[in-house]
Amino acid sequence: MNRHVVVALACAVGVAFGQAPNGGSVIETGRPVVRVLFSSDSRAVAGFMPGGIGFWDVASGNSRGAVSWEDRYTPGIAIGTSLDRIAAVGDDGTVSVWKAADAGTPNAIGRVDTSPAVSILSLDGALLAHADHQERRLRLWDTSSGRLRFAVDTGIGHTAALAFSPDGSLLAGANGDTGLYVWRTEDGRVERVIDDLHLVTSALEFTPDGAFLISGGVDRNIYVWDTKTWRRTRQFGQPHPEPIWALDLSPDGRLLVTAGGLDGVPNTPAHLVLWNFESGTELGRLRLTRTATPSVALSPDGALVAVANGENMIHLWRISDLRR
Amino acid sequence: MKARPMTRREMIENCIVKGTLLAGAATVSQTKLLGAWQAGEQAMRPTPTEVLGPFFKRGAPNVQVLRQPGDPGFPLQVTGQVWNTRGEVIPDARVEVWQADFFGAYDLEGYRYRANVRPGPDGRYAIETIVPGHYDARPAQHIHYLVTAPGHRALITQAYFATDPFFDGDPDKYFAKGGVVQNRELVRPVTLYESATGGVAKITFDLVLEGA
Repeated sequence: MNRHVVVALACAVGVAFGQAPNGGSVIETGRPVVRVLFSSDSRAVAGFMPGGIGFWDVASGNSRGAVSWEDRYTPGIAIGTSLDRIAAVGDDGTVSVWKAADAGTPNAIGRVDTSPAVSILSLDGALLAHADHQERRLRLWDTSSGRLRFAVDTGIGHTAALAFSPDGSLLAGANGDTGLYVWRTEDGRVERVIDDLHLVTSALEFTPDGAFLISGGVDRNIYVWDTKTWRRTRQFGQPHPEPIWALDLSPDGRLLVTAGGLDGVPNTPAHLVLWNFESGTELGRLRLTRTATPSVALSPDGALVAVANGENMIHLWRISDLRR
Repeated sequence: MKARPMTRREMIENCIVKGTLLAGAATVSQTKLLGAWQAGEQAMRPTPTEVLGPFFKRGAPNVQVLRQPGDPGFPLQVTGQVWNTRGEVIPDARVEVWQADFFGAYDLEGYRYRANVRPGPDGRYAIETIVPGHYDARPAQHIHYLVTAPGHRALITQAYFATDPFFDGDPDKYFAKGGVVQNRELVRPVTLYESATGGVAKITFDLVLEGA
């Protein structure tokens, strides 16, 4: 996976670097972080916050800059896996894409009749997907030309997760009706509907070679789907301790992390679990400080894991410390 | 049983049949008549929608009694009728409900406090449950609904309780507090009655579906 950070210096964000109560480090962000990603060299970490995206040096915790925009862009934001483009839906329904290198000059590529609070975005280098909770529509744009490739009905429920295949030919979506849907990005044709799950899937990711789709959700299990037959080829022998809200696979496909908790239920545990993806065995776990829906990312060098869960900080742990 | 009020469409049809409109037909334009007819087609407003939430579970049983003896929580009876926007009952709908238990937790392993009921020929449904517990992520007590019927757009909504402390005693004023509830109409008045086994709370929640 080609991850590369082009840091856009729009404003500096005050930071502090400290120790997390459960052994890791924390980067104080000053604003709640809802999603986290690493740069390709594993030296920087990016965090989504209301009003922008901040970048921090993982070694020192110092700010490496930020892309900021008005507060009217709050949720419904996405950043490409290459970290070079950023997309957001404004309060007026305008869908905009920034090149991180020249942040501040958004390119409006479309409009949706929705509130950003009820939509999710997924972005790879060339494509932007937008799923609308109220309209129950999925739209796909070419980010360069702004061309709307297709808009399709997503069925009964909202879209809980989206993931592009590595070659960009497929888009997988998890629906609130518990189904997994796979669309061809070329024309919006449904490639497959997987409807044998009973609870909602919250997290999806393709393996780097595109051969498998990994899913995790409210039933706590981790499933692996063959993208040729769309049959479930594996289920990890042991589930995550709580409902899964996020997962990330390392770029070499060896390590998987899952994060979960009983969202919003006080005094209940939440955990981060490290897995050997090949064998499906647990390598280690630690307890998270908050049950709110987390975002989790593994660094490309396989050394670090980052978690954001709506607090004013990014948590960082060394993988070596996470192993039993 | 109390008779359902006549819809505007039925009233217009009635008038036409009885010829009462004919006397004034010369002075009523076709446009106005068409407008009146179209208004009749929307005799009932669709029930406001809400989010499905993450805890929907496929395969809920067709049961009316969701609470079991000894369950903590105040007994609750929920009744209602399923309509279309023309004011006609929908007899072949499915009403799927799910809610948190007294402690604010959803059953993810089994099907406690989950049901998929089929209303009667008159569109009426009823469930016996408990008043749901509170939980931080959605701090107002609520029951989730997914209502489906052939030829109609699926309705995803939630019922709330006017007596919920979350509304600080004034749901008219505080229903939108924290952005949890989107529409005042979904906050249902609660009545109490005495059953053989003790007090029971009751709400009525009619469901109006749009055509597909």
